[in-house]
Amino acid sequence: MTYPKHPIQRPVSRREMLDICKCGFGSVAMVSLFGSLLPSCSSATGGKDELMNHLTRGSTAPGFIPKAKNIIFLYMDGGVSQVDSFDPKPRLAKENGLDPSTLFKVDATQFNNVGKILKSPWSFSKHGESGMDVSELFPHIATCVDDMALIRSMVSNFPEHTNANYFLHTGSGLQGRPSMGAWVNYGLGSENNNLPGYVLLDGGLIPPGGLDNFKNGFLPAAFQSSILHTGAEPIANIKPIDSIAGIQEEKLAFLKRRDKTLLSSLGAADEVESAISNYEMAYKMQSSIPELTDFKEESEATKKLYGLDSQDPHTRSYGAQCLMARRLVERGVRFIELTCPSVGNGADRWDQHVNLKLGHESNAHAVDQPIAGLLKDLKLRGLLDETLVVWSGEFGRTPFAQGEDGRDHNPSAFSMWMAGGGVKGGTIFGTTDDYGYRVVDNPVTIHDLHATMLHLLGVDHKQLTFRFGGRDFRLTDVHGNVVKDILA
Amino acid sequence: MQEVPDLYMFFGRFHPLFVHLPIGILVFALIFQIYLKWKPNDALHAVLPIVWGLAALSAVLSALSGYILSLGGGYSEEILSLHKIGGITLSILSICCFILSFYRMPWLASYRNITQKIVLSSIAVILLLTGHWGGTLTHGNDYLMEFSPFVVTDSSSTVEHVSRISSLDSADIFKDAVQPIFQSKCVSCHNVEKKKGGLLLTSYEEMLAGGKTKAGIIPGNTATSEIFRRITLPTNHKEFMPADGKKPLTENQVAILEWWIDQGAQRNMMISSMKPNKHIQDLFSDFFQLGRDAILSYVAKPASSEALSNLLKAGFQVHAISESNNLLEVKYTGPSTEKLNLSLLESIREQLVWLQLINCGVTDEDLKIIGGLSNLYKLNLNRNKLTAGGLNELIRLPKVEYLNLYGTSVTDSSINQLVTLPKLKKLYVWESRVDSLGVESAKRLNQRVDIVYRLN
Repeated sequence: MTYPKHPIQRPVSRREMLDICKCGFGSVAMVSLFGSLLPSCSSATGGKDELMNHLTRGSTAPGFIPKAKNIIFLYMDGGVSQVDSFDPKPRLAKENGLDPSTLFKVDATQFNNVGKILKSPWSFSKHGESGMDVSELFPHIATCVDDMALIRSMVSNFPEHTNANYFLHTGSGLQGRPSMGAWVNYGLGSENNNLPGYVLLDGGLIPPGGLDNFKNGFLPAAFQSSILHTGAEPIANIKPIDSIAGIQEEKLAFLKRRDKTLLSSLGAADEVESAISNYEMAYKMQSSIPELTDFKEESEATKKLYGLDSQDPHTRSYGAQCLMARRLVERGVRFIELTCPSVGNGADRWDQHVNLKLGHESNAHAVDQPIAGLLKDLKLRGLLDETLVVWSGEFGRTPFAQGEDGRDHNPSAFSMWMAGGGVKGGTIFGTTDDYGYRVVDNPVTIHDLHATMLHLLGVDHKQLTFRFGGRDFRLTDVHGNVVKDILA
Repeated sequence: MQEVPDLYMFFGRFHPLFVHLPIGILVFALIFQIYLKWKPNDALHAVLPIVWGLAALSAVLSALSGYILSLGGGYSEEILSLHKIGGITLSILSICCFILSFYRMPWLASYRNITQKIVLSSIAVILLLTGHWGGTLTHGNDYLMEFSPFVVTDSSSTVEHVSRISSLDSADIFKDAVQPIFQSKCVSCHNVEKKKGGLLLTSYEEMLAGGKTKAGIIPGNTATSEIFRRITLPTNHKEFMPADGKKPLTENQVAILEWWIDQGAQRNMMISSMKPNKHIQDLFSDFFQLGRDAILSYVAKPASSEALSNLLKAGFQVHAISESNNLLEVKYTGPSTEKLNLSLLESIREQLVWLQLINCGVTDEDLKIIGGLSNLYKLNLNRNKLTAGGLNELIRLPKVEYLNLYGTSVTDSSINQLVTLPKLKKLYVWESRVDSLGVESAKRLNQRVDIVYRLN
């Protein structure tokens, strides 16, 4: 097959003209909705002019002042057991070993290997001025309860990982929708031109459902997550290959010229536009990433706070990710998600269908000290006021055993917490029944969680829309209420 | 009401467009005529018929389209007839002027002066009146004077009410919440003069009664209340209210109306006696703007684009805090080698509420400028070489709530000074010269301030 040397140049068609203009109109409307510039539809003159235009134009749209500027999402892959972490249920101890179907209606579970009522292997105690109950799984996080708002009444729509992960990340149980990180960046733009606005810190485990949990969906491709791995080279090819200065720049400039020519013959094509901007970003990241991942300016005390001196390699690994998250926040990255480390010991994520004790203990040990370190470090530096830290799994676990010593999936109740920007510390919201099996008061859906997260960023979840396939889409679809009771 | 053919009505709807032509041209013609009187000029005089001709033509077109529009109904008869007479008179007078400007008949010359004076001054007066009546028809009676500083606003004005309620216990559901909502979003079209759709929304009975098609509000039933249905349709639905792209009700306003209707659409009842739950109380607190942060109610004029572009050129990040209040955040993160030109910040003093100058070589000298940025409510100066002497300048910041000085040489005695800042809530002094004794004494001075200085 032969390729034409010069792509055919032709005049802009009516359709393309409308398309180009639509982008302009769209961005004008968006800018009036949100308090920051839109990186999409950016003109050739660059970001500063756009910001100028935005800052100097009058606007009448309603809006509100954000409490948080960034989100760190601590994703507890697999589903932490609520009755073993933040939702103590003394009745489980009293009725340990009884057949649950004689006590309450038992829903079908994934494996339907329903065992007896299983008491928590860990004891709970009250912490902080708020007296929040935390199990001994999380001795370090327990010291931060006065900064945390705990929601015990979370519900999900799906009892299986893949759908539940998509639901938690994208607001839809099906594959293909934009992830919340992509929505946030679409709505608010990035504050840092040298780093992507949505960063996934890969701790080792990619959750069921794969990278589609972190994609842009129908939003422009530049809003998808960029994945930083643990270890010496967080991103492939982060060191320039060309040893002679200037050669790489020349190559990139040549590539850009070719892409621009292609773009002008294609008309508006998100794939090509995003590719151009991604190449530029990748080039900038060759200098910004090494600077980011170099911890030499961090003091020994700080490293220790995050558990970088721990005996447990998984604590060290997750601690480094948490420290990286703080450094990303300092650099103005909007949305940072951390996935869990692979702790071995036969414990696959938090998903303990068997051997609850060992599995939950290994996972908790890996994340407990780093998370507490992150909260304390953010607080010391005054960053917790503008950063929202969200800790959640995709669902909870059953209060009765699966087989002898595991717990199956339970979407009808689970616990999660938020801390930082705009959150009322020491709050407990929602209640479950005596077994921690179902929510009895103030259920909070995933949509409500998303609405609340966007609210804290100063974005009305009902206004953040993107027209695709003939209708306006939202992260919260047609649902979602802000959980005002946990707001400061 | 008589049936008007669609094509006529189509023409009639152009009235708001045409009507501005005679206004402009007539004003121009009047000024032109006076100028010619003052400095006669034959060449210019020859243009006069063209000017008056255009004025007459546009006036006639406006009057015609206006007449057809009026056949569609929905306007207050009294003002409409005044507006109509005014429009027709203006058309006739413009034609007269057109003729007068054309003919330079000698026999007329002796009368011309006085005729011209009478005609010209009548045009001026009638133009003013007719324009005002037209505006009243379109925008409602109190549109012009609503925000006038010379008139005492009547008791139903929204602005008035919102600031008057100091606690939920003293608020009446209808008088203080429902009526002001209708007043601000509905009454400009549904009033006595301009009863669109036969609907009046100026009193309780009229709201319930509704308009031509259905009852407006059915107490206790939002599903069958036509007004509620209309305000909750998708905004692009043709029956959505307020129509014609006027500002829709806010989510908060809709929620308050929903609760009011669900609770039986009471006419006289204190909100507190209706036992609102926590969620509803929050709705009303938002509506009456109770207990809001000071920063939320501060609105500044837009910053000058020159000042902003200078800041951006100097390498500062500038972010709008939210789109409606023109407030700005400025950020600079070091390490930086060059000296920052902080005097640029003075040009956005009014808008600048959040300043972050992190690890970028800010000195005690610079604090003199920063101390004068009186609208700051968040100030972050961490990791700069600052000492007690310079930090005393910050005492002048009346609004600051958040002060981050970690990694500076702030001392015990400075924080004892700083905690006296009237609005201060959070003070960050980790990695400085502050110790627990200093914090203890500072806390005795002001318990409200949360001082973060070490790991706890």
